[in-house]
Amino acid sequence: MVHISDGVLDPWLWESGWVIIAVILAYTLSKMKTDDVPKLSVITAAVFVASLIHMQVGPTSVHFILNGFAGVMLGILAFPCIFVALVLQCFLFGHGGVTTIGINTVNMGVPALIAYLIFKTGTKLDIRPETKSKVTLFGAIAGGVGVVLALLLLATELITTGEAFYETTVLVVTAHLPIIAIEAIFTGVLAGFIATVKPEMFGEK
Amino acid sequence: MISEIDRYAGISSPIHRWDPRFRLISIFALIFSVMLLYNLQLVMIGMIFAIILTCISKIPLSFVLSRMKLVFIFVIPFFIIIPFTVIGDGVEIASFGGITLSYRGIEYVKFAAMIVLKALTAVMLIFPMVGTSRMDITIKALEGLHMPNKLVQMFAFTYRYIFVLDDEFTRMDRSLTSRGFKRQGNLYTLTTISKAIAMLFVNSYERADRVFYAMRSKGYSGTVATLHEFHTRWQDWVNTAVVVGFAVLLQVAATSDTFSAARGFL
Amino acid sequence: MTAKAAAMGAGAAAAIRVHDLNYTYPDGTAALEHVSFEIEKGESVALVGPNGAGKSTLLLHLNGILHSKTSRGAVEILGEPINPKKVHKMPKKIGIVFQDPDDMLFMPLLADDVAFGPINLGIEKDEVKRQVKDSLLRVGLAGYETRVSHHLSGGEKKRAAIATVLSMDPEIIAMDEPTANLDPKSREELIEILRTLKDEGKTLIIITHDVNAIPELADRVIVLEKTVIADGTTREVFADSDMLVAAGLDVPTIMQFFEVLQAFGYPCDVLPLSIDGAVKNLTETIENGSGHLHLHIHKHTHTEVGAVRGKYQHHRTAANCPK
Repeated sequence: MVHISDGVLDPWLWESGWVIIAVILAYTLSKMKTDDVPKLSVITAAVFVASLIHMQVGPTSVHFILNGFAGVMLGILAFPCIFVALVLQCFLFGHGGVTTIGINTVNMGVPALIAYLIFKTGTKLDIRPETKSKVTLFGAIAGGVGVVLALLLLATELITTGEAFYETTVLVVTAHLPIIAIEAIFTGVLAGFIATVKPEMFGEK
Repeated sequence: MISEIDRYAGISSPIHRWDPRFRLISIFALIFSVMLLYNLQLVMIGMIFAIILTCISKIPLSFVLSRMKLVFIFVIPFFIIIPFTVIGDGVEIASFGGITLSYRGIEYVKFAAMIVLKALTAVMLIFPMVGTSRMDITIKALEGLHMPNKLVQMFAFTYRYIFVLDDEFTRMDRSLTSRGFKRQGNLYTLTTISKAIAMLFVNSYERADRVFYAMRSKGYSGTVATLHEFHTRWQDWVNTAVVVGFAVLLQVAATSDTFSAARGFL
Repeated sequence: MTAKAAAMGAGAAAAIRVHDLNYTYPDGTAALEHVSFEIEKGESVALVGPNGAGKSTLLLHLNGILHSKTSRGAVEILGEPINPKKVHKMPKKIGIVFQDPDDMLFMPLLADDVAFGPINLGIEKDEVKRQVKDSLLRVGLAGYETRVSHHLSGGEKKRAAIATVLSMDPEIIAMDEPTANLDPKSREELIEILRTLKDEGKTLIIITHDVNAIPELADRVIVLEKTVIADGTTREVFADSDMLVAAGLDVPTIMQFFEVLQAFGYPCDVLPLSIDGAVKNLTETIENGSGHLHLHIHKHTHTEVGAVRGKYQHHRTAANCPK
């Protein structure tokens, strides 16, 4: 996941991050059926584990961001999933910041939701082995869009914080450009694979 | 393999003995307080306090530092980049092609140092906060702090299945490697890894079904309770008073003239 | 129905009564067709069948987790038909031990997993604690309360999964391959636990491919291949080896070995099923032969041995048998 460490952003940004995520979590938790909790947890664990996998690209090591995929699979329930994953990441590894958990969830979750809407419009959620190519295409678009929007939010927040961050922002965004392509291919392959093997996984939201 | 932050949860220290509910809230408040600071001296004081807390917790510093490495890699570019500019005014130091690199001045160096120190302080404080009790107790503390039950369940189950799925992926990875697969920076690697992860997802989805059946077989009807009981002693309140008091003190100091907030230049 | 079951079944309600149970997977393949059987209280039954025969699916019907329109009223537990809306009330009557213990141990701490069931049943806290301690003791994991599930060994996990069911003290315990994937020592320990449960009078239904363990564990065997294709005492079912082999199953190794011995002229009417049975049988035969055992090779011996060996070689019977 792309995340901002503590102490970088303007306090009002991460403070509003907490407020927004509190509202969204309250809403999604009320909407979530208790029967979904085990399933959602296992998928969250899978997202967590998958995001730990590193791949060598050129001189740097990249890892999957998976917010687009979480959106495609879970719709609005991607929010609690991302929130839990980020908290555990922070608790288990000390990564990603404490005060920024709220805003990082927003940065991942909002693009995830938009990715889901694109995927939903594109495929009309008609997911069968026969529609595999369409699912792959829109999965790829959703995966790419997920990262692009997450970067856009991140960049906006950094620049809002201060002009001093301009160079940093350019650097962060440039460094992530290849990840957009990687994530798009990854999400596309994943969606296509699941459409062939177990299409009912898309059914539950 | 996932190495855990709670590796040193078994040792004994005043921080370890502190009721996890109080400990979570107090250190969380302290992290917030330090992040709200915009004065280098105060941030340094905060950092010193964080180091003291970590030392009291008896978690080996080498362990803390090794875990901080990654955050360090993330924030160090700020320290290098922020003091220089290619767009604004400043003292010109280098020029190549049409781009002029300028030095922004000592103010920016200080600002960059502050950001790096804040980030490191926050990470360091995570160790006394959650590294001093086992993760399952921390999750129970969240329950004790009245976090919504569904969320607590998600934490508990996700935490448990991270390890199961990690083993599953490791097995899958080994089976790929044993058939001559090597991770490289090409499309073939990417699609292969993607398919392996897709299989991981399909398997975990099916596992989710079985876990749910198992829970239903044990009478699950939506809420999860555990037997753990927290016992609050007077020391818990003392510890809380000290840490929260310090957090408040930092904020009071920040409003005084001695430590005038240095945010103006931004 | 076995003689014992018939004797007991007169007045009391059966522990499990399945009558014409049908189930079709969402993709349309039939999983269970017209399954009917009855298990009396205190009986210990092995449920065998090839992979994909619907054994696990059947197990999940026994406490109502899986149900469909066609299954309504088909399953009665302790005399009461299952109400799919009250699945969470079922653990008091029937506990299910799943095949993969990682599916059952979903809490971070072992004690929480064992306490999970009793807490859901609304049992009072001190009693739950006692149950947790007692259940762990019974599976040989005393003092494991604060152990983390993902650090347990495979055998310990299997036993822990059983403890999470024992803590609810169900009348009936159903298990899915309890002895699979275990080393010999762990397997032995597990069989011991199951034997103790059997001796305590629990009703057991055990899915297993471990035919060598069945004689020790079960009085009765049900063979399932979408429907019940055989049901009888352990001896009766194993006696019909042709049926078992046709279903892709096996008889205990000891039994096969004594069949080979028969070809060498060993006098034996009833083939022993276990080592214990074999020792008894050999002792009797040797005593009857005034201290000696006479085996010999005659002109048909090797043909007969070949026939016995061939009977249990699945690749021959399944693929190459002309018929």
